[in-house]
Amino acid sequence: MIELKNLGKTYQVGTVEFHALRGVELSIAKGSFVAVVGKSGSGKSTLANLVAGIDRPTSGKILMEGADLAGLDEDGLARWRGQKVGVIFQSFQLLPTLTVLENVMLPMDFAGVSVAEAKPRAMALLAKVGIEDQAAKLPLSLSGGQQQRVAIARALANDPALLVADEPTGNLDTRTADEVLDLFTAFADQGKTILLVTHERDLSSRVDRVVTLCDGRVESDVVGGRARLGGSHA
Amino acid sequence: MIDCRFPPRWSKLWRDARLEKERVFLMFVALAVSLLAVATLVGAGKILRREIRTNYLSTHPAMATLEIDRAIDASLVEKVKGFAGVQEAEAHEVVQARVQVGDDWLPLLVFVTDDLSGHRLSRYFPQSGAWPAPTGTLLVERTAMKVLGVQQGQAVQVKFPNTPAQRVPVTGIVHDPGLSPAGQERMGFAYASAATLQALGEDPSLHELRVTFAMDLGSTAQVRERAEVLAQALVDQGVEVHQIRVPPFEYHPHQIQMETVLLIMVSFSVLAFFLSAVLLATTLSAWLSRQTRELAILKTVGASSWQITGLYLAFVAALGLSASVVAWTLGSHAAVAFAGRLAAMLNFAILDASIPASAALIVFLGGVGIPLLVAYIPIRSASRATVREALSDWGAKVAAPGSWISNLPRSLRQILRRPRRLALSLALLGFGGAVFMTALNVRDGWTANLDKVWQTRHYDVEVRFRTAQSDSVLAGLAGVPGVRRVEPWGWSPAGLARPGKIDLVQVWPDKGHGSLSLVAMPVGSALTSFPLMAGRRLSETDTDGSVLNHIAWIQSGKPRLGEAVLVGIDGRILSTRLTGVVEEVGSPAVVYVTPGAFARFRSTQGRSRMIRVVTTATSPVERTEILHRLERAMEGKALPVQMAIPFSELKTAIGDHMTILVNSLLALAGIIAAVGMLGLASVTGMGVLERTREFGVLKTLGATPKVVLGMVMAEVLWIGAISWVLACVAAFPLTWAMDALIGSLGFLAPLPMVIGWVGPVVWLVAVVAISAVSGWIPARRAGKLTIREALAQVG
Repeated sequence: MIELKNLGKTYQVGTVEFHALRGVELSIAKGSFVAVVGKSGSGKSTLANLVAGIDRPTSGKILMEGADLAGLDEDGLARWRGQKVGVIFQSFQLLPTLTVLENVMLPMDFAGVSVAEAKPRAMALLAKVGIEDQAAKLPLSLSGGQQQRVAIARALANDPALLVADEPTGNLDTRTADEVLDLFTAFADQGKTILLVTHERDLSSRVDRVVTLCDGRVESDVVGGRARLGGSHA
Repeated sequence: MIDCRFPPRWSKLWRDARLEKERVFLMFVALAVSLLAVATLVGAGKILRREIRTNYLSTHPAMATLEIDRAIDASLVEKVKGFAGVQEAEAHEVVQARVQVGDDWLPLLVFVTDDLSGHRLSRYFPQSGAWPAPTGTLLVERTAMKVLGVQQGQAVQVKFPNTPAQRVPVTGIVHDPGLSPAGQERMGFAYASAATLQALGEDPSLHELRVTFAMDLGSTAQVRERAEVLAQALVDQGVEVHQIRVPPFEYHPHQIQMETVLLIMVSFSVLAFFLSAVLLATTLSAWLSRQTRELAILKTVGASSWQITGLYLAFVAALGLSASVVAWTLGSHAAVAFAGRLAAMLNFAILDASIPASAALIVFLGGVGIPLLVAYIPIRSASRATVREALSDWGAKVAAPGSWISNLPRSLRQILRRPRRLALSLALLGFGGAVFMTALNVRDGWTANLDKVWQTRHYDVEVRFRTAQSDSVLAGLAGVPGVRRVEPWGWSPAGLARPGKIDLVQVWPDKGHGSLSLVAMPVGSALTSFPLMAGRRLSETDTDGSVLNHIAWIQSGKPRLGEAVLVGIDGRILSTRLTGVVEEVGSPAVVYVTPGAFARFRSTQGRSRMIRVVTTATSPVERTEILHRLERAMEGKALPVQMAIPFSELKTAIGDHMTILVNSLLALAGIIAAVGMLGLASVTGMGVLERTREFGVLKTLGATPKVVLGMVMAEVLWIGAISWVLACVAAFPLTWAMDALIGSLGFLAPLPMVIGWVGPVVWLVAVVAISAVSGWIPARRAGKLTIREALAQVG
């Protein structure tokens, strides 16, 4: 269970304060597939960053299984992310000098998993996202869709309970985007909690909930088609 | 199966380093070259310190010498050996003779013992020829052969104190590691038995009782104490001891000189190495800056800041270790060669060329540890950035409109966008420039200090006589053609007296190093102009006043003006009050009194033991001719000359021995300059590369490649100019500190602070040239990229 209590985030831009999030209250049940939508500047990426522990709130709390993330220092947050969260970015953020396989092994390396153990696990993950034949290549030699699959496999490396994806289909064509979304659906079906940030509004049939942000506030929170079909918890 | 043997983080580091191979190589070269200098000098220093001691101790130097008024016989020696704590005792003598070299007469110290080959103290070692020398012949110290211009088997013309000049065969060559090189002293060293002295018609009696004491942990103070007890016991038994000589315990006469030269060189090599470490930190900082987003990705997937810190520290350690291996491999050979060169210069042999393990330890610990320490800050800073900060890093800060930065010229604003990087770059270049300038300033200060030897002495030759001679006879020498002025000065070897105690001096057996003289300076004499450090010069009325040169002032415990200074000669004490202190470079300790006070104390009214002569010579050849005429005139008047020292020869001798120091300092300055320039090239190049994307944007907005190039050049020249100003300013305190340290060790007074123009000009030209080239190349490359290519650049 993820609980966001009166969550606020303010940025200082020069002498001006910009309120990216204001008093957000949200609970996300374990195993649910939640889409966060909104216009550009609505605060959805900020929300994803806070949930993934990439950034810290200015006010309010983020409780993960009842534990406040504020209690963790930067290194504690990094360890927590490595074990519990998989993060997927719009621009893939793969390391260009590492092969596809090494990119996927990287989170395991930092978690203390040996090369001997990490390698078959990474290959299995690549197989899961359908690009095991690309394992020896460098990311820049792959298509955008393939790179995002690598990023998804990397996010799953330490088998995290939560996946946070920030506009994962933003750089992909429609067909590839659909394939990537199918992967998320499959992971949701396997019990992963997924927070998907997107500007696309026609995802409601695929997810359990659609949370709409506007000017840093929750404008609406509606049940999605997947929940209505009994796919998961809302 | 896909090859993947290493943990991905190390693969990333390795491949990133390969992508930056030019800069990694540059960091390696800078570390290795400066560390090579450190390894060479530290290794050579370890060898030299051990070997100078081994060589000196191999001579079994006397710990103390007691000057006895009567001839020392075997029974006295045996009696002294019987005293509690005396380990060894022997009778010696040092005769101050003169030897003819060409048309010149140089001082010749003849060391005399009863048994040339069997004596156990102040030993020397046969190198060739007869051993022991047959009666009636001399052995000559190996460094003196060149000074005397003589070959083994030839004869030299020698004037002993009591006999006319006579030819004495040189039958052998010996090495005496207890002496400084003859060339440096501009005198000859010879060895003869008492029987030889007798055969040559001289007094064969020996007056120096040399002793060693049995002691567990020796020190100069302990030796003094024991020597005083022994001397007093002898006095109580009716043996007249008129002086005790205790040189610094187990210290070669030129050890301080060697230590000073080593200190200068090691200091600058360490500074050069620090500079390399700063270069490494600066380059690494720029590299990490380009890696900001990748570091954020590592943290996103679970890397802690310590894991990232460890990754890059391991890289720095590997770089430092490789540089240390190369530096040590080459440096250990260079150290042996350099030590051999210095040892030859100081007349001792390298008996064991092995370098102690501690030198390797210093090089490896420093080679790895210092880069780690210096690089830690930028690495830690980069690895501690939060993921959001790093992912949203656009490379630079932007000044808020209206702030002071926004009012600066555009090119200056640009370089201020990354204040930390700018600070590191300026620190690297400013420090490099300051050290470079300081090296040249210290060299100039050292030279200027030695120049004082001639600038403060306005005469051509100093002549000392064995006994005081009539001033009117001496004044008559002014009639020698070419002699402009002859000034008689009172002079006598002396010691600092302690009431109720025997005179004690810290002079070495060559009677020059560590000696103290009492000198009567004619009031108002224009022949010297030693600068006053305190108080005032002597006037006619200062009948009990004294002026000390700075060495005598330090030897006598730095008395305050007006305090008592007691000088002892032959058991008598002259009590004076300190009137002033002068800086006298190039002389041992001297206590100056008025001629009246000197004459009363030494009973030499109307007579003097020293003259200082000014000639009309305008060339060295002319001066030599006049000196020869003067020599003949003194011989004609039967004046018993002890030594005549033309200053031109001294200048050449000291100048020759400066060469190694000056060349080494220049080489080190070159290394420092090279490291600084490598740093400048690296920082500038990386700065431009980082902004390739920005240049793409500018070109989209209409900027031409020429405009981009102009922007870059303006920025790099700003950095060069600011760093140059910082270097010039920092060179002042650095020069001051180095001059104070080196001068105090080498001359017991700070070196004169010389701020030369060559260093700043050379550095300015180099900074502008390297800035221009290292900015122009990548800027031109960036300017040639299409907008699409430029915008595709990461970072």
